[in-house]
Formats: sequence, C-alpha cells, structure tokens
Amino acid sequence: MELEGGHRNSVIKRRNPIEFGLVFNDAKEMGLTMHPKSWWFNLLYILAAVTCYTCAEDVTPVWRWSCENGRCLKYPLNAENLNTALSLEACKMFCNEYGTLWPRPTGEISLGSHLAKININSIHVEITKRGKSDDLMNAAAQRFKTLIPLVIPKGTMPKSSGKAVVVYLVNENPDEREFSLHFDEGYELRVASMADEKVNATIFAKNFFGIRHGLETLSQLVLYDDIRDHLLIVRDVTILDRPVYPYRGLLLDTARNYYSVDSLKSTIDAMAANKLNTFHWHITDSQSFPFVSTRRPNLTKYGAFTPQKVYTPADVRNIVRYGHERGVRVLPEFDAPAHVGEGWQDTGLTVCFKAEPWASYCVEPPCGQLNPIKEELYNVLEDIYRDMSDLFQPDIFHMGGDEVSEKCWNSSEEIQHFMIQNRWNLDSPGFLNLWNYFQSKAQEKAYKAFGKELPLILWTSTLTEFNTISNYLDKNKYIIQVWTSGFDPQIKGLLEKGYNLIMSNYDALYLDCGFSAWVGSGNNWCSPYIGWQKVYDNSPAEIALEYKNQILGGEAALWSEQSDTSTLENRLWPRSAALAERLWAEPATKWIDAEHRMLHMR
Amino acid sequence: MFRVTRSATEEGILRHKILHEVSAGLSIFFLVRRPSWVFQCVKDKGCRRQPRVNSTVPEGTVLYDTVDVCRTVCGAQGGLWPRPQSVTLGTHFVKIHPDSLRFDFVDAPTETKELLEEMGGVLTFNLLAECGGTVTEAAELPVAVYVSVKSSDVSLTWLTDEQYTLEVQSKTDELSVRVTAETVYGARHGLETFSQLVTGNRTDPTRTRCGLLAVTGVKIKDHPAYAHRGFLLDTSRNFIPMHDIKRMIDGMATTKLNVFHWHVTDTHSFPLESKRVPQFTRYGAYTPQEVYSTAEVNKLVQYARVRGIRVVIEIDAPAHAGNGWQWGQEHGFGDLAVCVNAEPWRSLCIQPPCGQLNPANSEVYRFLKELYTDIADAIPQPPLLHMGGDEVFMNCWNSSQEIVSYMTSRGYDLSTDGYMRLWGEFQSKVLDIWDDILHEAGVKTKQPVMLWSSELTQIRHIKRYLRKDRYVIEVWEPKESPLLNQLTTLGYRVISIPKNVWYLDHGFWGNTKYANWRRIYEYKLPKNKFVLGGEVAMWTEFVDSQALDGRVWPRTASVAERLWSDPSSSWRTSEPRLQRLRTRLVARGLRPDVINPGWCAQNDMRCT
Repeated sequence: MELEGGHRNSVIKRRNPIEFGLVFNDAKEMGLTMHPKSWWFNLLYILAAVTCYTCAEDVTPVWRWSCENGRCLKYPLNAENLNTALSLEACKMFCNEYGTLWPRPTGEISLGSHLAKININSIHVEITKRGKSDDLMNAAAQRFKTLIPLVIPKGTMPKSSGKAVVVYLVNENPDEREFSLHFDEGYELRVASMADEKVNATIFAKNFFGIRHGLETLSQLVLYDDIRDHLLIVRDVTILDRPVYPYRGLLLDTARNYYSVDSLKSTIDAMAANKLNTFHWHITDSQSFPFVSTRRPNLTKYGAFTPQKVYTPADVRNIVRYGHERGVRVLPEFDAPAHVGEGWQDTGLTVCFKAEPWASYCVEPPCGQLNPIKEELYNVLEDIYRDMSDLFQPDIFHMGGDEVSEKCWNSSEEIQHFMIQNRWNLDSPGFLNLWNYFQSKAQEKAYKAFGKELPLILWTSTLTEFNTISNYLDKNKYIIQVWTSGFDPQIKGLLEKGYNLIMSNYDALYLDCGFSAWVGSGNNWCSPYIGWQKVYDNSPAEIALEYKNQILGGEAALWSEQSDTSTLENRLWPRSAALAERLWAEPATKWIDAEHRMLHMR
Repeated sequence: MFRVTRSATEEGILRHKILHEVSAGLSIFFLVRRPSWVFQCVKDKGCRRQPRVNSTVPEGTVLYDTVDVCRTVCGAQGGLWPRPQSVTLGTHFVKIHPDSLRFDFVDAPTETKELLEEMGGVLTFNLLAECGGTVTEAAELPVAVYVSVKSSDVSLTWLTDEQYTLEVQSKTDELSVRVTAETVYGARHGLETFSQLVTGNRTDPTRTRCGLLAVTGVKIKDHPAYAHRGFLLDTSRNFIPMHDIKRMIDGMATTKLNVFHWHVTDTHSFPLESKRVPQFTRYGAYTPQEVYSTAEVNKLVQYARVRGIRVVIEIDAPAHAGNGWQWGQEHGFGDLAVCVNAEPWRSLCIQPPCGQLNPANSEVYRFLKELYTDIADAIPQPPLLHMGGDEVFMNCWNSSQEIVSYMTSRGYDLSTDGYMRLWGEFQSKVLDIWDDILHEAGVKTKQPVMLWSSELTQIRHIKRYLRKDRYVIEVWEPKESPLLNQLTTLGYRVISIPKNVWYLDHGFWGNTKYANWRRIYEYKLPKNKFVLGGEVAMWTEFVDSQALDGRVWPRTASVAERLWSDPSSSWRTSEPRLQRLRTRLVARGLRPDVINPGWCAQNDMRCT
C-alpha cells in the first residue's frame, strides 16, 4: 500500500502492468481503528482452530477481494492482510480497463491505480462560466451531490474524514440548452490529487449535456469501502468520452396501463445514469387517452381509465423539465391514424371503434381508427399537436403510423364512397393513397402547430415499404423507426433509399416479449423473453453495415399490455442498461466481456 | 344499501383551479374530475363500464361507482379467490367501519383464543388496507364477528380440518358475521373470505374519502380440495429479505395457501443462522447482513401460523450444499463437502457453484444433527422437515478419493447402483438423526419427511431405500411424466410440482417456456388419496426482492385456486375474479404483475 507523505509503504498485490494501492491521508487514524480489529481477528482464529464451532456472532466483513486475470476472487480477511485488503467494489474498479463504469467510455481512458479517501461532507461543485443554461447546470450539480450518498449501504455512516472534493465544470457554450440530433454530448474528465488535502475533478464539455454526462461518470468513480467504512474516489483519472449514436431511447407505453408520474421520473433517473437521452412517450392508444388535452378535454374525460389516471399539463411540464435537467429529451408520440379509440367515442371521427370480432379489424382489442375523410379531424389533430407543442416543445415529433388496418377503414361505407370518388381502388394501393392523404394533412397541421418543420418519426409499416416509400414520405422530413426483426430486408431497402433510421427491432429490443399471451392462449407474439445479453449484442452498426451513418440510434420499447407501475423497474432494468452501452459505445465486444460491469451497474 | 342509478348521476367535470406559485414562476392547476364511467354487472359477462351520463342501460339498472364494487357482487362467486365450494351472495351492501368491529370468541376453546385474536387483528388490518389505511365514512351498522371453533388443537398438519361455514346477515342493530369451523385454521379461512366480501369505495372527486362496503345475505360452505397447498421460495441463489418473505406470506394467506416451503440453503449461499454451528452462515452467507437470525425465523413461523400457514424448512442434502460447508479442513473436521466451487462445473453439477456433502465423513452427520436440532426448535410442531435429495451428481462424489475408498471399504461398487447404495445409506442415517432429535424433544410418533423426486425415487430404486410410511415425495418432473402415478400406485404419498407449468422462473432462461396464469390454472392434479397436494416454485437464480412480487403474483393465485377449489370450469370465467384479487393484493402492499391492459379490466371477458 502506498501512503501519501511516505508514512508507510507496502505493496498489496503485484500485478501486470500496474500496481494498485490505497491512499490514506491520516495514517494514525487508520492505525487506531485497526488495532482492536487485529486483536479480535487473532482471537477468533485461535478459538476456531482450537475448539469451538460455537463462536460468537460478528457482522464485520470476513472476505477481501483480489483481482486475478481480470476477475475479483474472494479470500478470507485476516489480521495480516487487513491493511492492504480491497473491498469488492475497490477490486472491481481496477480489475479491467473500464473499471465499473457503465456505459463504457469511448475515448482515451486512464483510471490510474490509486484510491483516495474523501469526506462526504466536503464535496463542492464550481461552475466556471455562466449563461442561459445556468438553471440546468445548477440542477445537474445538485443531482451529482445527491448521487454520492447513494453508494453508501443503508444504515451505515462512513467516517467523515478524508479529502475535500472540488468539481470544476468548464462549459464552452453556457448558452446552449436545446436538444438536437446534431449536438455534441462529449466531455473530458480529469481527476487529480492536490497538495492541500483536496481532490480536484474537472469536466470540460461543449455544452450542458456533455457536462452532465461527465458528472454521471464522475459519480461512478466514487465507491464505498466496507472494510474501512470510508468513501473513496479514484484519484488519477483521464477520460475522453463521446457517444456513438445521437438518439438513445427508451419507449414507454402509458396507454395500455397507466404509470404514476413518480415511476416515470424514476425511469428518467435511471436513464440519466445510463446516459440514455430520449424518453419516447407513447402516451395514448386505443385503450386509453391519459394525456390531458387542454383544447379538447373530452378526449381525456372519456379516454382516461379513471379521472386520476391522467397526465395533467402540470405533470407533463414537470416530467419534461425533469428530463431536461438529466439530459433526457421527452419525445411525445401521438399515434395516428390507427391505435386510437377510447376518448374519441363522442367525436364521430373514428371508425370500427370496439368492433367485434376484433381480430377481423385490428391487432388487439379494442379496435379503432381515425376517419381520414372528416375535415374536422384535422382541426382536432392540430389542437392535440398544439397542446403537445406547449408542453413538450419538442425538437422532433413522433406521429405513430403503426398497424393501420385496411379492413377497419373498409368497414365504413362513407370511406368507400370517398375513395371511389377519388378513383382509388378498394385494395392495398388504394388504402395507401388514403393513408397518404391523411399523413400529408396531418403533417401540415403538425408543422403549423409546432411552428417549424421539425423532423417527424413514423413506425415501419406498409406505408414505409421501401419500394414505394418515396411516393409518400420525404426522406429529408421523415425518420423511420424500425420495429421489424433485425434481419428484415426492409431495413437494407430503406437505408439504400437514403432514409435515416432508429432501430427498435423487436427481436432484441421489445421488452414486453415473453411472459404470455393476454388474448387467446399460449405465449405472446414475440416470445421468448429477451435476456440482457441479446439486447447488448444487438448492434445497429452490424445491421446497417456500410450505411451505418444513417442510423441515428436505437430504442428499447416497453409496450404495456402486461405491465404497470408495479413491474416497471424490472421490465426495464437492467436490460435497458445493456442497450445504453450498445448505443453509447457500440463496442466491438459481446456481452460476456461486459458481464462483470453489468453486475455492478445493477 | 349503496347504489348509483342513472337519474342520480350528475354531469361531469368539476374544475378547481388552484394556483400555486412555485419558485420557477410556473403555475400549476389541478383538474378535479368526476369519473366518466360507472359499471354494470352483465349476467355471464362480468362488469362492463358504461358512461356515467346518457347511459343506454334501461331505467332502474344498478350501476356501481367502481369496478371493484361491481366485482364484489357480480357473478356467482363475486370477487372471492379462491372460489368457495358452495356460495350464495346477496346484492346489497352495508357500510361498515373497522372501529365498530367486534369479535366474539365465546364459542371457542381457551387454547385457541390467543391465536384467534391475532387472526382477528389480521382481518381488521386487511379491511383498513382496502381504504389505504383510513376509512373516512361512518358505519351504517356495527359488525359483530361470531367465531365458533370445536377443536382445541392448534397444530397445522395434513390432517387438519380446514373447512368452515360463513354467514353474513344484516340485522336491525348489527351486521352479523358467523364463522363456524372445526379448527382455528378453518376459522381463519372464514375470516379471510369475509374480508373479500368487503371493498373499499372512493367516490368523491378528490378521492380523499373512502368507505367500506360489505355484502350481506351471504352463505358460504367451503373446504379445500387438497391438504398441501404450497409456495416454494429459494433464498439461497439470491437473498430475499425477511420483510419480502412476509409479504409473500400475506399473499399466500389471501389465497388460502397453507405451506411455505422454504428452500433456505443451496450451494450458492447459506443464510440460515444456526445457533449451534455459526460457521454455516459465517462462511456461507453472502454478507453478514444477508442472514436470517433465529429470532427472525421464530417470528416468521408465528407470523405464518396466524395466517394459516405452516413453515417447512428444506435443507437440501446431500447435493446442493457447498458454500457454508467449506470450513471443515480449516477447523480440523476434514472435508464436510466435496467439489465445492469446483471447475469445470459442467461435469460435476447442474449449475455453478458445485458442492455435495461428504457421506464418508462422520463429522458431516454430527453437524447435520446440530443443524436439524436448531430447525426442530424453530419450526411449528409437529415438525415437518424437507430433506432435499435433489440432483445428486455421481461425478462429484466420484471425484473424491476419500469417498471412493469409503465405498470400496463398504463393498459398494462404483456403478450407479453403488452410488444409490451410498446415497441410500446417507438418507437412512439422516432420517435416524431426525427421529432421534424428535424423540428427545418428546414428539411421540415418528414424523414423515419430504424429499424431492430423483434417481433414488425412481420405481427401480425407491422401495429399497425409502419407506413409504416415512417419505413424502415431491415430484418436480414435467406434468407429462408417469412418475407421480407410478409412486401413488406403489402407495407413496406425493406432492405435485410439475416444473413445466408450476416453476415460476421458467421463460427467463434457456429453452424454458413461461407459463402464464391461464396455463398454470389449467393443470389438474390426479384425484387420488395419495396426492396430498401441490406447490408452486420460485427459484431465484434471476430474481431478488426487486422483481419478486411480479414473478410470483398473480400467477401463484392460479395454483392456489387449483389446490383449494379444484374447479372444473376454465380460466375464462375466472378472469374477473382474478382482476379483483389483483387489486386486493395491491391494497395489501404487494406489487403483482398486471394481467392485461387496463381496458380489459374495465371490460370483462372482452380480451379473451
């Protein structure tokens, strides 16, 4: 062990290529606390060896850990090795190139070989340059301070000795505060020990978002040592880090079952810890309409499961703000023209609502689809979009476009009549024309409501079929979110046509798979359950090959037919963490190389 | 009587703008709104939601404010789970309040009264839970709960009579609840059923008020189809904190399961404290905090007893033992276990880490005796021990020179038969140990023990090594396996736990398939006096307290209804009751998985 000031010097474990040590500021204090323990352990050993198998109880740790060939192995702790022993956390930090960081950094990384004791009561954050993102910077600094105590196990109070930590945040563009698909989320983090009982950490970044990610990384370099009952920080650090993909998302469907506002916020917290940056909010569907529309309150009144199961404007603002402070964009989706129903019943603007047998008209009960020939429909859409614009102020917007049923539209004589008038056949190309008619008008309303031509996202569907998509959707205006399997030829087709994609291929990224069918019998359509290993190994770059620059990123989706607040956390985590590392780092390695860090992240 | 009719409803939105100045200068306004829906009980279809205003139902139709109130009286069994054997339900509600709830245990033997009082306490607690702890609405009638119990015996065994009758009648001055049972445990089930006839009702727009509605005009006669209705929890692969275990016990009590099969140890860790041999947890627990202390175990046993549940501890042996037994050499007792944490594990055991007890070392029996003595002190009387006996790997024993020499000295050859003889010898020694312990403790008759099905319990071996009057075999082979019937034909008592439908960890690893509540429900046990019942198993390789509730509930309720009611009807007609059970479990503090979209829960039988 190496001690600052040369009080003591002993090597704990020689290992290739670097040597690990602990830095203590106060050798005396360590000495005092260890004496009684050494005595105790000696006694224990004597007792155990001589007679008894009825020794007294004890809650002090009995194990120490040692890094051998990249694995932390467990050994008994005893008086001789107590000084140099590493706790499991400390061992893991130096047992591989990326320590216990998740997601792993993409640039230069050096974690040094030393830990320093730090004082939990003396952690300061300094913001060097002020600007329009001050509120966000302050919030991020505050969050950092609240993250640190979380590494301490419940019911323990680590010693409050050790060095002070000062974190300097150097933000190049303190006025930049908006999300974009083109901004730079990179950062540089340096930690160094100073002479005056201080550890300095400095984060350099182009904007608030990079600074925030740097703080997240820094918080993962603080650990609790149960052998010494102390908080430690990795002392000599250089990390250069920047994500591979600009869009790193998680979709939550709050229409099939309702989730509490608190559970959405804790999801955003966990996303922030994993540097995911987009919370895609599938807020409505045929089953319910929990979004409170100020301009069209009846949609919520008739569409919510109960008056309590709604997201009020205040709730949404709160969530959007919460996300912003954590570098997480809250992206609204209004799915249309299919996947609507409840809430629209008194508008006269839907067809085949609750039609039975449902299997003839839609993919799951209750059925429902907007009636595209009603002019009034587009006024309602504009109002919904305006409500969303007020609350989300999004930089991109998701228009849904999922699973439109021809049979549903075809069940309406009025629609048939309209199509015949337009010389469209009542066949698939004809219904695509009708859908395109809807989409063009909806797009116009969206641009009007949001006040700008923001990028629009649509799900893959018959409308996005790669042979014909360019007849309907402009590749400079639309981003396509892929939910087919990762092997589907559509993906390559769309890439060749020049479309930008977000990957949510169901075979790896649908977190609702497995469990069971909730309609009919047997297992659900995309069974089996997808383990975190498969999520990790699903590489968008491998799928896209030479077109990988057109991949904006990926997104895991939790459709909520069979989950709600009670089970949210374990459906999402740790599997979404696997996605987070894939999208941040796009590592060339597979899950097996990440497992030990994964275990830690959980 | 509580009802909402069309004419009584009023138009919708009450808007209160409450302005709050927050530091950011934003103003928040709250919308306080009346529900848009009321619920109608449709014959054979369950509860369906209807618009509160302009409803198309005929004048005079009863409409309920919430789906839970509707379910409490809708259908032949209302919101009861598991369904009683015979039931008549009224349609009228009476408002009650826990403060005006009185118990009358006059007609019960003195020995049972302490237990009955605690059981009454659980009932009161459950009623309060329906309103989230606070009932704001006054009672229309006070409640008097009359409990009669015949037997003074408070032990819970396979022979315990759990039947009960329950009558709820509104009189002029009280709501009379009469529970009649042979034993305290039957009475407990009656009280549980009564709690399910009561539902919390929140009707005011702000949801700050909550009343309790009890159904009256009820006659129920009920008894379980099977005596052994178990839930297995493995706390070795991952440690499950005691308060999470208690929450599982709460769920079991709600669904009238009666055996908590505690797979407390395995090769991975040994979290059960032994006062006599502290090394087990010192060397076997994941951390010093991840231990079940003896005091905690005693409390759990009592907690379960009050909820009609017997705690059965399993110490899996001779296989599935490793960490916790690795200190023998160091302390001068030789190898207590062999191939502990050995690699490559695939040749020595079914999953890492490996480990098996060393039957050649007499010290093993000495420490097992100490451990069993601790357990016999802790578990309810008469003690029922599960001796494990799962997945013994010949290669593991074969890897130890000590064991091979021992076998040679005993004249056992190194074939499967030889290992069966060794295993049989181990089994007969540990059974003798258990018998001695119970004899010394004053238990008069020899007690049966439980054992997993294995090579040793195949019909070609079992008669030679295991006596049918002593061993009850827990058969975990797939439901298609003939073993269960073969064993009952030989006269062995069995417990059924078919892994391909009643293992709750399936569907998350390998080629296993997730069984949803419907598949679980459809499995029927053979009707045979040797089939004591069944269990559902939560192995915890991929679960800890974070994901526990959702894996276990509501699926375990399917097993509970199969074992209690053994219904001939299919899952289809049960789904509305299961929805009600789920909201009840949530009220009682569990976090069960959701069954389907909220829309289905408001539109019974439309998502089939």
